[in-house]
Amino acid sequence: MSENKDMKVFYKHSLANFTQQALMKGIELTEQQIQQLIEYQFQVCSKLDWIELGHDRLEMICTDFLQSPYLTSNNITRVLKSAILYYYQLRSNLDWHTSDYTLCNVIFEIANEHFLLIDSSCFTAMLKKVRDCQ
Amino acid sequence: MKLNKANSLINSTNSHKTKEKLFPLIMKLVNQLNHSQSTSLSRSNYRMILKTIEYMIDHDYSSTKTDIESSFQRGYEQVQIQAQQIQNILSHLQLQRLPYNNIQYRSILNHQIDAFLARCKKGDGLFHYYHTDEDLDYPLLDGIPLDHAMYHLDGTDLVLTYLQRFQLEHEFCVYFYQDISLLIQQFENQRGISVEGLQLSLCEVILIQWLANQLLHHNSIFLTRKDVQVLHHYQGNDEQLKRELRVCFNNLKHYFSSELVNHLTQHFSLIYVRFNQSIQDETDLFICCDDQAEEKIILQNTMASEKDFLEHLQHLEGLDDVELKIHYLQKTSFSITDLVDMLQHQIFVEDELFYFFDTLQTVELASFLLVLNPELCVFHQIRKLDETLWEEIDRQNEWQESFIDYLKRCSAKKKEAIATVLNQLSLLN
Repeated sequence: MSENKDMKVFYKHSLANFTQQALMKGIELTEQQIQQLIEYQFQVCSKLDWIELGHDRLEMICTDFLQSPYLTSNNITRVLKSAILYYYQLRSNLDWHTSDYTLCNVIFEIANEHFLLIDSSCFTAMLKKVRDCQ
Repeated sequence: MKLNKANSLINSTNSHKTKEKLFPLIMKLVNQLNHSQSTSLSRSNYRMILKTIEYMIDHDYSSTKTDIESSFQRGYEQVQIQAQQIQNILSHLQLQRLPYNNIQYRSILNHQIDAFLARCKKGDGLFHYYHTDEDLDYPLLDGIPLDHAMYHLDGTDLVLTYLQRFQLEHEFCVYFYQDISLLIQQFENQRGISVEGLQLSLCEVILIQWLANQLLHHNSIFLTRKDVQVLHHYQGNDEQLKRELRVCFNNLKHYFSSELVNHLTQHFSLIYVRFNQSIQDETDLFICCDDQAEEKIILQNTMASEKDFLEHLQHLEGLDDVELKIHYLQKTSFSITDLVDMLQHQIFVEDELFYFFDTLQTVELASFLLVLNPELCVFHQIRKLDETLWEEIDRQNEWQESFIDYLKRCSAKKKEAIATVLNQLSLLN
């Protein structure tokens, strides 16, 4: 557990760019929501025994979703939390042959195909698509 | 001396500055591990990276204060030098392989060290220097290192320390290269067990035998039953034994390299305890030649009378089953010359002969050879079961032909055993 907390020391997670871009799309994120997402990333990693060292990965996972027409102020926290969860679940099932960049793209594409209603069926579809990309 | 800089660096979890200093190096290694494709990794891999950093920085022996990355790099170079040393020792040992058919011994020379080095040479080899998964289970004089975390080392440090000790003990055994096969054979005969699966240090076996011989002022590693009886006279004279063993250890320097002598002398108390044990409670740590060969020779003098012989022959000819015949021969225990006479009278035919020879012991087979041609062995002439020997043997009868055929088909190991007994018999003649 301590290693994940260590990561907080190394860098400050920032969603500043993402928040700004969201605002331009008319979606306002509160400071509390941002903190929720940052905390959620740590929780997911802890549960999966996973360590994230990239300070920009959270922003990278979230930013793609701004392209989706289905993203609204009401569903943004739920959608992004699911995206974070599925990102790390998939990441821990894959090796370095799949890049973080590819993984983010696949998650967004499949989620968008499902109108951002991300459930377990999406996970299988995402895994299949990632494997096809390899 | 270990500097253990890394411990102070990594374990000081409160040190915010240290973490910040380490982060670029950790990130660099994560990128190396993930081929720059991902910035995240499993907790076990993260620990592996931290341990690698710790291990490499520990191996930076330079006193100059530089940044962590340079220290890591210098440590890495040192560790690579260690790996090269391991490779050199292993190659040297593989060339000097001993005739010791033991699983653990073979495993060290053929698999375990190779597997460790192969892991270090792989793409992500950098992360495998700090730890070894191998058992290193061939015992040295002080036992199996991993059983007791004996050296409190890991990775290249452990493998190199183990291998350097292994090499020294190996060097000691190489001095007795010619005698090892026979000594092992005697060991197996005495204990009734094969050395193949035993966790047995050959160096310890030979050292105890050599010391025993030194006590008796013999220049060999072989003992007879009489020698062992003489050694048992030390029973109760612990002080005298210790004193005389000390003298023997001092004599080591006349025969072996100083490095080897130092290594062996370090284990004096351990060897003394083992030696004393074998003298006190007769646990048979001493290996001595089997006296069986001498007993069988006596059989030659106790031939059956002509009347008895004819009776036995008649009885044997009346038996149909080959197994019954063999059982009768074993029960009645004939002398070797009587047995040859029986065979001349064709008590067995064709295949039965092979079956009969197969039931004989090594010493009996060797005795047959000697009876067939008493001039086969000349004193101090070592014989082998080869083509020249076959030519020297009389093959007039059917059983003689079968006997030679049978010997030719024996395994190399059995042939060697027969030849050994044959040479012993020739000494007694």
